[in-house]
Amino acid sequence: MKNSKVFHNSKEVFQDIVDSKDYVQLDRSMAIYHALKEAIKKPLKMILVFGKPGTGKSMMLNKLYKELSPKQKVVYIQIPVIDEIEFFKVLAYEIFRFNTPDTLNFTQFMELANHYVVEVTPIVILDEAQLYSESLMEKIRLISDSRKVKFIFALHKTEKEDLIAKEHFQTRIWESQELQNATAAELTLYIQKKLLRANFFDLANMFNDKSVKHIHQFSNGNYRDTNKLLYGLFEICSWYEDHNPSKIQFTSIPTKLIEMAAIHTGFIDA
Amino acid sequence: MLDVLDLEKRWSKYHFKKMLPIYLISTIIIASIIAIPGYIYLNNPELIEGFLTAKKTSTNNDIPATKTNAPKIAVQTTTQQTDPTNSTQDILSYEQNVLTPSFLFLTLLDDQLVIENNKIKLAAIRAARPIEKKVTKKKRVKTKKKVKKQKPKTKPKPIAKVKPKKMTPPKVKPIQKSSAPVKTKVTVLGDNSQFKQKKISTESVAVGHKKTSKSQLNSVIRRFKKSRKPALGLFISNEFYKQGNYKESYNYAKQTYKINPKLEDAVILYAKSLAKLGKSDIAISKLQSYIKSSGSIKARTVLNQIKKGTL
Repeated sequence: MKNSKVFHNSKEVFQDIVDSKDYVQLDRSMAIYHALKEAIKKPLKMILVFGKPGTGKSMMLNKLYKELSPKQKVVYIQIPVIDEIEFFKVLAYEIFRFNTPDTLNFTQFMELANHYVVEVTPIVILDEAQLYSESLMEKIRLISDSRKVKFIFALHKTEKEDLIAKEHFQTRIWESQELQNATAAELTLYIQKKLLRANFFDLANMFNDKSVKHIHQFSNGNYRDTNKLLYGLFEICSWYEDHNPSKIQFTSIPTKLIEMAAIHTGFIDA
Repeated sequence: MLDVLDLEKRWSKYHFKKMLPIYLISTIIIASIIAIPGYIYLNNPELIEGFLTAKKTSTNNDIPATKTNAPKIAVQTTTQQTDPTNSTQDILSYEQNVLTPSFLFLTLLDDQLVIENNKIKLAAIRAARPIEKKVTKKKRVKTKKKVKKQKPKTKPKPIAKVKPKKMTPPKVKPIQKSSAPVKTKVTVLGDNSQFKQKKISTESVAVGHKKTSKSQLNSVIRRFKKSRKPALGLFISNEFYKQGNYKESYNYAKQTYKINPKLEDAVILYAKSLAKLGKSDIAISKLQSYIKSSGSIKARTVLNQIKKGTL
């Protein structure tokens, strides 16, 4: 049977993992990605990528890292190194391959940076930059001012953080890119592309505008929430596939199942 | 664990709640359609009766008359031809069917007359009144031409034109460890006190968690619960540790450690908060096993600190 056990493996497609291989190319996000790449070529000191949680910042930075690292020195710090000394030690090792068991402060790091001659300015990508302390951010700014290292920051955009980001970077950032939640049309493309990439052609066809509109209603275009909802949806579908296959249509996704997945994942309080 | 049957029950409840307003509105509409004529009948029965009688008479006058007459005439002609003895009976039956003239048109005419009289009176009253000219000033909406002062996007010029260098892999000259650090540079860069002298605005550097408020911390906790990112867990644990809330610090460090057991900071925070909670033996064993697998120097220093009791 063509459609047998179609839902069983499909849920794995929507696991929330940050991997550049899973990056889905949508028009808007690709435009931002290319703008970011262009910004790196410019003699900018700092570049800012910001957006609400789940808009694909980490995914984009991951892709950027994978693409640039064969060409130039790129350091991607996904998990913030909160301790200052540790931060400079990590930078020293990752950029200059300089390892020391002793402490390394800002001044020592700057001396180190001045000693080394690097033809192409190394890039440091800092994810979750809002978690870095005030004093450390000041020192990062000073490093970037010296043009020894170029920094790319990824920030969460909340109402407060938005202001903070603007206040902090307005005088220094020369390029900033904002990532936004997907529209319903973009979400349709996102789901279909993800499924098609995993060779689930039948499933991709099952997601029509109506069903994606429902999904968009619950996830609000947030990619992380969409993944979560679809994972739940396919879990429910695979249960029906095993226990009550007559209830499943293989032509479209019923609204009932989407709503059930929304209840299961907590988007609906029922 | 996914319990689809329970989920179905919850969905049916949700669906009922969702559809309830629609059901209610439709029943209200249907009920009102039924109730309104009844209400009118109760308040003014003559109106309905009059309407019904008018309908009856109109039906008697128009449609059945034409329908009944036509076949009867035909019957009469045939009977006259066939059986002349039945003629009296036919006449009698014809007399019974004689239509009475409706005088409804008279009432209608009266009504029309009344309406026309009213119209004439109204026209007379209007003619008697002076004509009020409404002076309407055309308000000219002053449309301010908003000249958008678009700031020219002046891209700051690079400080110095850097000649494009060859795209060669970064050549890194190894530093000589023995070489003494350049003293002049040390004095130039100095420590943090020098930055304060330069008055680098601290307002602009607001990103960070040094002054993490409760609400900010709560928002990070919420995000951590949602996304399960180890970075956030680590941050929360660190914050609680700074605040002296070692129990919470332990909890979050443990959660972070579960998500990513290779995360050095999580292991260290986990051990440090355990030690602060008075469970140094567990902290030491945890650190020892981690040092065995990773050989971390940082973990080793923390272990020594716990052993010495200088944490």
